[in-house]
Amino acid sequence: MTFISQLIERRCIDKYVFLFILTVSLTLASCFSVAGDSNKKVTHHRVLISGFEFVPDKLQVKKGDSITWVNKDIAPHNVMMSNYNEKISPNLLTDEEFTFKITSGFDYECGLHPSMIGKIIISD
Amino acid sequence: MLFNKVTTGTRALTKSIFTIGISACLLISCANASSDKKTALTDANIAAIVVGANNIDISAGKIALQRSKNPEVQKFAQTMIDDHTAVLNSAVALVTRLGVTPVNNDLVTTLAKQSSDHEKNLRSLSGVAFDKSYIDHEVAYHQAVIGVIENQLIPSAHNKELKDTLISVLPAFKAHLKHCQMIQSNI
Repeated sequence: MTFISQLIERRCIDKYVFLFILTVSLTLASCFSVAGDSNKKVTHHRVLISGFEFVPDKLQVKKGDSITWVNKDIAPHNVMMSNYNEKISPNLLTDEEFTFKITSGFDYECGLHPSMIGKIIISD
Repeated sequence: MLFNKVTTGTRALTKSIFTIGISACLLISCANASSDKKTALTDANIAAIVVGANNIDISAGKIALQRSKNPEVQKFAQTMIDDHTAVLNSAVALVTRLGVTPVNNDLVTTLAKQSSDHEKNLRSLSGVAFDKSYIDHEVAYHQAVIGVIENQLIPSAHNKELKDTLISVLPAFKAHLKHCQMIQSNI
């Protein structure tokens, strides 16, 4: 900023012109930033819990995608990472749903009914 | 090592024979109870069987929650209570809406008598003996009930909604069977 201050003091550059250039630069930078983010297409997937199965039981997704599990059974279910025994959803009652942003692939199961299993595969 | 393998093998065989034995007894008595008088099951009978079968497993689950110290058995028992309560509530809501009043038949009486004997036995056990008896019976009971639903209740149901409900609850009983078989293999 010292260099710019010297330029302004020496009247090489008007301070209002400087402020204008700064504002335009910041606006353009933020526009490009938003455009960059929107290039990453985020897909929202749905997995039905029906008939004591995850449907589909295997799902290919990209990092950053999200998955919503919807319980259509009359019994409660949840989603638990198999390798860590870590429950990532609460118990879902009929018609309740849970959304999770995917950062890595994992095997999962219903923590209440271990015969119900599913797999998330990262495709990129 | 060889002795251990033989012992483990013998245990597994004994467990299988025991489970098959209970299952056969339940199935034979269920089949006899429903075929003795050669009377077809009505929707009212089916409603009574569904209510009775769910109540039996809820009741056994409550005993297991009180007496078992095994976390897997306790977790399974809680799941049985929650799931069978959900199925029971759904069935009661349906028959109430349909105006069907449950009517007991020989199968309900047989199931109730077996359940009473089983619960009496469970209350006399503790520790691993309790867990084994509870889980072995759950395996046999779910096998028997799946057979009854598939072979007797679904074919006999007259009302389409009742038939659809019976079809929709089958996966629950099959998932429970797999779950208790997993626990059985670790006890």
